[in-house]
Amino acid sequence: MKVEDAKKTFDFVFSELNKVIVGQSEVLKEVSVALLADSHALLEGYPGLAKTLAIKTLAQLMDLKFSRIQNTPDLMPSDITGTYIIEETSAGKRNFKFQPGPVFANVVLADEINRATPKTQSALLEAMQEHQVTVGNTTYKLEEPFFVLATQNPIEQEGTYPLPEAQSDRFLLKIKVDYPTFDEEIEIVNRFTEEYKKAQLKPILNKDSLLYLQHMAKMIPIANDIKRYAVQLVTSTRQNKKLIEFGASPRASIGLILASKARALIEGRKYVSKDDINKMAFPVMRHRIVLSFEAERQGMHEDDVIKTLLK
Amino acid sequence: MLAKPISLALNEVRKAVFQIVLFNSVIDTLVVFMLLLMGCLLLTLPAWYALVPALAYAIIHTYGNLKDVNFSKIEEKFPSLNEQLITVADNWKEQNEIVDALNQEVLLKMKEIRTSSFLNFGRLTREIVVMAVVAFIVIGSAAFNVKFLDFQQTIKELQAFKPFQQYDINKDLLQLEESQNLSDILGEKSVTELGQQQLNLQINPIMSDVDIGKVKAPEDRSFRDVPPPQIKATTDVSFEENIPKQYQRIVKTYFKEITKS
Repeated sequence: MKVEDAKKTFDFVFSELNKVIVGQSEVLKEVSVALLADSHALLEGYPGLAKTLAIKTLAQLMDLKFSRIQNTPDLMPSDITGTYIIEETSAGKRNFKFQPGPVFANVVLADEINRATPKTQSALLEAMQEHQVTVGNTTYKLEEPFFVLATQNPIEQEGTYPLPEAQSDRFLLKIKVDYPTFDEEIEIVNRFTEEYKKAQLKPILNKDSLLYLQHMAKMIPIANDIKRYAVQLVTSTRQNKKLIEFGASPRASIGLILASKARALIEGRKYVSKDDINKMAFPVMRHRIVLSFEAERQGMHEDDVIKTLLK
Repeated sequence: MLAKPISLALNEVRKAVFQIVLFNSVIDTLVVFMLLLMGCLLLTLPAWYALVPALAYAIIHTYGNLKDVNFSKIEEKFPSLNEQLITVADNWKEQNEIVDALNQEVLLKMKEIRTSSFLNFGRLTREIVVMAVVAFIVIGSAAFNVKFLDFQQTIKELQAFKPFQQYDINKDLLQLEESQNLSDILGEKSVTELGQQQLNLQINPIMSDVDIGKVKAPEDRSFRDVPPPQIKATTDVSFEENIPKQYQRIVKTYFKEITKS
């Protein structure tokens, strides 16, 4: 497969997604970036912005095993990872048998992840980082590719548990889902209030093609100057003490380069440009920095601070 | 396997750009040298005085220009190669299908690179005009011996200048003059301060009305001992008014005696 073919594939994926999702093209592109970078994405936005629908539709376009975890405050870690159940054999003998949880899939939709308790959220840590799950004394490998695509409402809302820094750092991207434009909203209203023929989606990407695309993304070359620019951007979050209390870790540097490579592939380019770095800096770094009191006093958000760094 | 062709192409482009930058630096240095040379001629300084600063300028300027030669600068001139050339330059040793495809693409686009794009024709024209004008000024000033200032002569004069205390003054004479009033003999003090300095007087033959070639030897002239009768000496009224009475007779007698002779 050539880079041009990869672009055609993704253009087709986006056109299929647009049959279901109105607008949100940047969100869909960023979710695809996370898939190509073999990593996880966290979608944040107010209820009713089609976060779950976007992920479900994307999963339908891929011939992969999909599972959904609806997070609630009473969800237990074993509800995610799986547990041992007693199984009675035909001979009447009872054995413990491992019953895999929903995490044993290729695409895991962790819906409203910040509604689960920190203990349950942490159950995903090992799976996200190591692509394995340990239950009791046994470690189970997860099937590749493995993605966790989580959604959450803004943490300021009632009945939510903010993700711990260690967990949010595992997500390559934190994708902000904004309100649609007026025209897009009119189209949404038309689609869902009138007799509308449901789009029939067929899988476009299978496991092998997705793994190959991930391999291709890593092969995209990057100039040393642009690499230095990306790392300098991440390290500058640790130096700007006026606006940032805690800066991004080296994992952000890795993530920024990987995400930029994936974005270049989606756009059909054989090289990483500075524009890729600038565009991916927001979803890669916004959940990895902790703003200082001064920045909060000035009413700045993470994106405003990143914009300042980019200048 | 495109690593070798791309490496050769990159080297070729770099070499060509180096040559252009070097050429630009030589032109810049020549302009500076010409201006300095003109200054030296107008100030009557040796011509090699212009060479030293021109050489220093050439070294610093060329080093600065060559240091700035990189693929980013080439990309600025050719936006179609933007960020691709630096990527290829940094990754040409990598071997994978995407890098190979990029190398191939860049190789094709590199054909668009014209070395003339690195020549700033406007600036080059201005520099050539400046050099031509300065060359005319240099030739003209040498032919007509135009000089704004004889710098060497001024330096000599400045070297010859000594403060008052350093002048070679005849101290005996000064002491004599201080103890006795010998101003009638030595003349004014300011004249004695000249000391024993030699005065060099030069007459500019162009500026002077005297034709040295036509000057004759002085003629011998005889004067009569007795002055002509038209010349008379009379006493002035003021003498009578201002001279004290007891001396008036003496003065009158004195003047009578003089007129008799």
